[in-house]
Amino acid sequence: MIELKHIHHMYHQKKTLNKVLNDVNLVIQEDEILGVVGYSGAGKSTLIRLINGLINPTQGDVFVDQVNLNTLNHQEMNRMRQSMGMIFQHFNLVFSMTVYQNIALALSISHYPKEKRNQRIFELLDLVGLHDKAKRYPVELSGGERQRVGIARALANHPKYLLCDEATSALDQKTAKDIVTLLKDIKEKTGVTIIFISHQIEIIKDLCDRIIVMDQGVIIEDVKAKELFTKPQSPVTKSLIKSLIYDPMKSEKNIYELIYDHKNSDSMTLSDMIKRFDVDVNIMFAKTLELKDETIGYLYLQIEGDKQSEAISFLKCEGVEVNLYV
Amino acid sequence: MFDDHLRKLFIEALGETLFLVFGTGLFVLVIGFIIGFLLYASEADSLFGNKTSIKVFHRILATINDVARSIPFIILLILLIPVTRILVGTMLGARAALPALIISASPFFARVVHMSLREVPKDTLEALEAMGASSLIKLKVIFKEALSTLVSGYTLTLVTLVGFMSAAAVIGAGGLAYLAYEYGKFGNNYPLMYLSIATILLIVLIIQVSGDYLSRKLDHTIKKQEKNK
Repeated sequence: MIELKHIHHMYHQKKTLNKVLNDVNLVIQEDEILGVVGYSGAGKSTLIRLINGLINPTQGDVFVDQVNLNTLNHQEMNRMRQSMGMIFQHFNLVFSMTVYQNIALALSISHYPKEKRNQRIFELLDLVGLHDKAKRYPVELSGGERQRVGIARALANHPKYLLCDEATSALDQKTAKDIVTLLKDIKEKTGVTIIFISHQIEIIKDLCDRIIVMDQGVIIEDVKAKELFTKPQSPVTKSLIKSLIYDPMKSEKNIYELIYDHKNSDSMTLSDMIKRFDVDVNIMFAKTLELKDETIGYLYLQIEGDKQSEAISFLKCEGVEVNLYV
Repeated sequence: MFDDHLRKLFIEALGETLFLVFGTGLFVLVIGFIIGFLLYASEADSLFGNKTSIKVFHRILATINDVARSIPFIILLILLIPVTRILVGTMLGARAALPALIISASPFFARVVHMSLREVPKDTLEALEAMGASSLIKLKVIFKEALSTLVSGYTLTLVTLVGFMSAAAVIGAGGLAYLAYEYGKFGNNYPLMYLSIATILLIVLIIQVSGDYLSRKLDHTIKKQEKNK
């Protein structure tokens, strides 16, 4: 379990004080895939670096498995880091070492038993699907393959936590999806707790059980993935979600956004509403989003008629989220 | 064209030149490396921390290094005449050029080392930090990453050294350049002059080609296909 308690972080830059994190409190349970999303400058990168002590908070405490990182000396901190893996946006591999040597480096840092290293390296290469690339240098690999090496290296010492810092942001969409699939697969096989930060909500939604939205150094939402997409609270969340859905409406009136999950999709809610309240419905746009274990539908309707507000209440009673758009 | 005496003279001069290049080269390698490394280590936040004393040390070392580097070699040579007399005991022959060559080329190589180490991406260091690497392992990886640039930087330094040596010849230090200068200036043996010059060029060429080859072999930041072009 990782706990962040009253974390403040700031730094001075040319006499101005920059507040990066402002009273952040967070508990990360074992076994979950936590997504942290937000625009750049929200404090995500700082947040993830607090967990393995790459950044020390100006104020507040970080506990990893009940150990306060502030109390660790340099060597103890290094040992703690060996039990965590981290992957990066630009992979950060050692260029002068082969794939094999890059993974071996992580093992030698942790004094992994020498006679078992070779076997462990090939286990890892199998896990990430790079068995035949052991002797290649990073420069000879594609971006996706480099990130796979990064993942293998991060998992070398059987870490309990895997920290992912914008791990898919430098990859094209398809490769990014492949990496997400791989991470889910690894989660299944090893049970590692994954903390994944990204500005790409489309990646987070495929991967995470629980999502945190950050803005200007503050956690503004902390909910289950489904809830974030069905009941977004803050404007930042809404605009992040909107970036996933094309926005064709300009000045039309009475546009409503209906958000529903598979429970609603079985019944004839919409046609019931039309019959009962005698309203006119015009479908503007529709879109579905695939979450990790769920599908969410977004439907944009123009609803007009005398009993318009009753119709909306009816939809809400049926369990559909309805928001006035525009 | 060359009698036994001249042949002997040439062989001796060649020996002196090689002694100077590789003798000074060795000193410059060690001294320059230490200074360059200290410049790097006292600057990076992660190695020695961010204490004021470290910053002051870095400033002083960098200033001394830059001053030494910016004195033109020929001036340094004259400047060091008394020192050389005390240290080596003579102003003539190959050994007399040693102090000036070392003092001149070491700061140059130190800067080369400093730059090469600095070129190792901060991202790589962060990854090592995140893996919980000790300072020793971090240094090993930094050197491994910088090795290719270090080799090409050292090649550059050696070639510069050959140039410095030719200047040293004018004030009487031995070697092939001295031979070329002596026999060329008085016009009494042009073939010997050209032979000496050609040999110097050959030495430069060998250093440059082998340095380039080695550096390219160690460089894993360029794709193989591109390397072969």
